[in-house]
Amino acid sequence: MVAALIAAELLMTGLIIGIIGLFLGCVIGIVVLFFSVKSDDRIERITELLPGANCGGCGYAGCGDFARAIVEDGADVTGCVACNEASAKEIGEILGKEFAAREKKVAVVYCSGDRDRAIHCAEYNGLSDCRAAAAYAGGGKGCRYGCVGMGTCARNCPFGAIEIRNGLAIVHPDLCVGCGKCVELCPRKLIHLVPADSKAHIYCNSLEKTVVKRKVCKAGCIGCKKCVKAFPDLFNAAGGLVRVVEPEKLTGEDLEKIACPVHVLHLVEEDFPAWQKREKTQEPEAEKEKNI
Amino acid sequence: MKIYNFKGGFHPADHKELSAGKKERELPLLPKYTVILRQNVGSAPELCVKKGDIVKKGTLIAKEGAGLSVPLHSPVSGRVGDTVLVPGPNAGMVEAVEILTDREEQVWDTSLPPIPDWRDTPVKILKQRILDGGVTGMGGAAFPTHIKLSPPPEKIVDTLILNGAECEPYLTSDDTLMRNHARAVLVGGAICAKILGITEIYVGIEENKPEAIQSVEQASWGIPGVNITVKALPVKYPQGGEKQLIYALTGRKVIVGALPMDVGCVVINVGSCYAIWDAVLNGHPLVERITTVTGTPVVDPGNYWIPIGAPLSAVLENAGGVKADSRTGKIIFGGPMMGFAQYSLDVPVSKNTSGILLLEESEVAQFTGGPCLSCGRCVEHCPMQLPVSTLSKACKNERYDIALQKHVLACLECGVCSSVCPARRPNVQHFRKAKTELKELSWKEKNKQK
Repeated sequence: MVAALIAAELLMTGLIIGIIGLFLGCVIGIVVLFFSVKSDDRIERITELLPGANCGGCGYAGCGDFARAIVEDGADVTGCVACNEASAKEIGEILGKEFAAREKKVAVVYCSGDRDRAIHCAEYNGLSDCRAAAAYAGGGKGCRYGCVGMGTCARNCPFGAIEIRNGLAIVHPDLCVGCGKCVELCPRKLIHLVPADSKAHIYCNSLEKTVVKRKVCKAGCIGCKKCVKAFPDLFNAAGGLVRVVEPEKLTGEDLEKIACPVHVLHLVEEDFPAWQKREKTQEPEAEKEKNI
Repeated sequence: MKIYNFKGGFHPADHKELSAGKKERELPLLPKYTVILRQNVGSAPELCVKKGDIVKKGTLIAKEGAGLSVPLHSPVSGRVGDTVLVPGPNAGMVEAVEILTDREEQVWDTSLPPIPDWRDTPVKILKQRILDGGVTGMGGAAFPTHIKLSPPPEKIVDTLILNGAECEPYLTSDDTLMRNHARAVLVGGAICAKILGITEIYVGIEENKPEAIQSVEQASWGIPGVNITVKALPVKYPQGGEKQLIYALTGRKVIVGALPMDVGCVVINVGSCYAIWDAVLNGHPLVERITTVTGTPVVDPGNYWIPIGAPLSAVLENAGGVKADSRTGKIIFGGPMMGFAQYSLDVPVSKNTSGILLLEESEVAQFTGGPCLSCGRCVEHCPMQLPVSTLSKACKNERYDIALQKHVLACLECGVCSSVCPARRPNVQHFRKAKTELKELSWKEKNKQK
C-alpha cells in the first residue's frame, strides 16, 4: 500500500516537472521565433578560414571582427596579411567574389650587431624589455640605432616568427606573415617590411658617421659604396648608410662579386642553415594540430 | 607655524657626514671642457659661435631656442672647438661643444652689467636677466626658472618657497650653500619675490642641517622688504619633493595634474636662488655650480665649484681620486634615490648635477625583480599615496589603461617603493615605461583625430 503511494507520488512529480518543462520549452520556442538575431553563417565559415592569430594587422579587433567586416562592410580579404592564397580563394568562393592576389611581405631586422659583434659599453641592470630599456638608456649596447635585443618583438609576435639569437632579433621569413606588429613595437624602429622574395639586405640601420659606428660595432655598414659601384641601380647610398632598393633582384653570385668587407650585406638564407630551417618549420604544424 | 607631516616616505641612512661641513673648493683649470647644449627641460639652445672663436668666461655660446629654453654660456675663457657627441648624464649620446683653454687668461665677459640696485629695477628687466643668465632649476629637473617666475595672471601666487630640504642621502651641496652663502641665497629669493610681487618667503630645511638653519635665520634679519620664515622640517625622504614641501610648509595639497601655482605657491631650489643672485648682482651667468663629490671610494669627499662641461674623469682626479683598495661598483650623477648611473668617465657636469656619488661594489644591490608579495610596504611608504603594488602588476602585464585609472602619471619617481620592496621589484622603471607608453598612446590618438 505504502509502496503504491510512493510510486504515485514519484509519478506525479515527474509529470509536473515534465509539464513545466514543456511549457517553458514552448515559451523559448516562441521567443526565438520573434526575437532571434539573424546571423550569417558565412561569417563563421570565414572566421574558420582566417588564421585565428588575432594579430590585429588588418586594423580590426581580431579575426572574427574582420570576417564580419568582409561579409557586411565589403572589406577586402587581402587586408589580412596572414591569410594564404588557398584560404583567400575559398573565402572568395563563399562570397562569390574574386580577390586579387596580395604581395606577401615579411619583416626584417636591419641590424647584425649580436653579442659578439656589437660592443657593449654599459651593464644594463633593469627590466628585460626593449621598450623599458629605451625609456632609460636603451640597454648596454653602444650603438643607439641597433637592436636592443631584449625580445619585446619576439614575445609579442603572434606567429612566433622572431628569434633572439645571441642578443639580436632575427625574423624567420618562412614563418613571418608581415602583420607589422613588431614594426610598431620596436623602440629603435629598425624592423621593416620587405617583399617576401627578398634575397639579401644590408643589415645595419645606423645613421652615425662611419668612425663612430666602427667604435661601437664590428658589423656596421661603413659606407664604402663597393656595392653601389658594382650595381648602381640596385643600391641607394645615403651618407654613411647604404640600402638595397630592389632586394629581390640580388643573387648570391652578385654578393660574391661585391664581397662586402664588413659582411653587413649578406643573404637572408645565411642566417638560417638548412637544419635550423627544417626544425623551425616543423614547429608551427605541430602547434596547429594541438589547436585543433 | 604648524609643520604638516606628509603621509608616506621614509628615512634612509643619509651618509651626509662624508662631505658636510667641509670647506668648499675649486677645480684647477682643465685643458678642455665639453659643454652639453641641451641642459634644460624643453628645447635646446641654438649655437651662435663657430669653431675657433675666442670666448671669455660667461660669453654667450648658444642663444635660447624656441619655446621652453634658456641660453648657454662658456664656462671658461678659451677657444671654441668642435661640436662633438658625448655620453650624456641621462644616458645616450648628446650634442656638446668643446671649449679649449690653452693660452687665454681667465676673465669674465662683461656684456651683462651688474644690477646692484635691483630693488628699484623694473620686474621686466630682472626677469630678462634671469633668462639671460641661463638659470635653470638646480635641484635636478633643470626647469627654466624664468618660466616658473611668470605665472599666468589668473593664478594668484602668495607664497614663495625656497627649497633647502636636500632630502637625498649623501648630497650636501645645498647645505654648503646655505651655510656659507646664506645671504646670497636669500637675496636671490627676495629678487624672485619681487618679480612675483609678493613678500612672504618660506625656507624649508631638514632638521639634520642645524648649521644651515642657523646661518639662514641669521641672514634673514638683514633683508628688508620681505618676510622670511625659516622652518625646520622633519628628516624624511622625499621632503624636498615639490608637492611634499608645499604640504609640509603650508598645508596645501597639490592635487593630481595640478601645478604648485594652482595653490598659490612657487618653489625654487636654493641653488637656483644663488645663481639668480649671481646673475643679477654680479652679472655672472650660470656657468659653474657647487656639486657634492662623495661616496666611500672617494679619497677626499667634499663640495666643489665645478664649471659646467668639466668631464667626470677630471673631477674625480681632482677630488683626490679613488682609494687604491676600493672597487667602485657604480657612479651616480645626482643622489642615490633619483640619480642616474653613469657608464662612461667622459660625461660632463651640467647645470643640474647636484652630486657625483661613487658607491663601493659591496654597497650596490643588483636588480632581481621577484614576484610581488603583496605585503603593502610600498603602498604604506608612497608619498603620493598611490596603490603601488597594483600599479606595478598592471604595468608588468601592459595594462596601461588600469595604470592610468590609478594615476600612474602622478608618480614622482622618488624611488621609495623600490627601496622598501622586499622582493626588489623595479617599480619606478615600470612606471616610467608606463608613462612613456601612455604618452605615445595619447599622441597616437591625437593623430587619429586629425
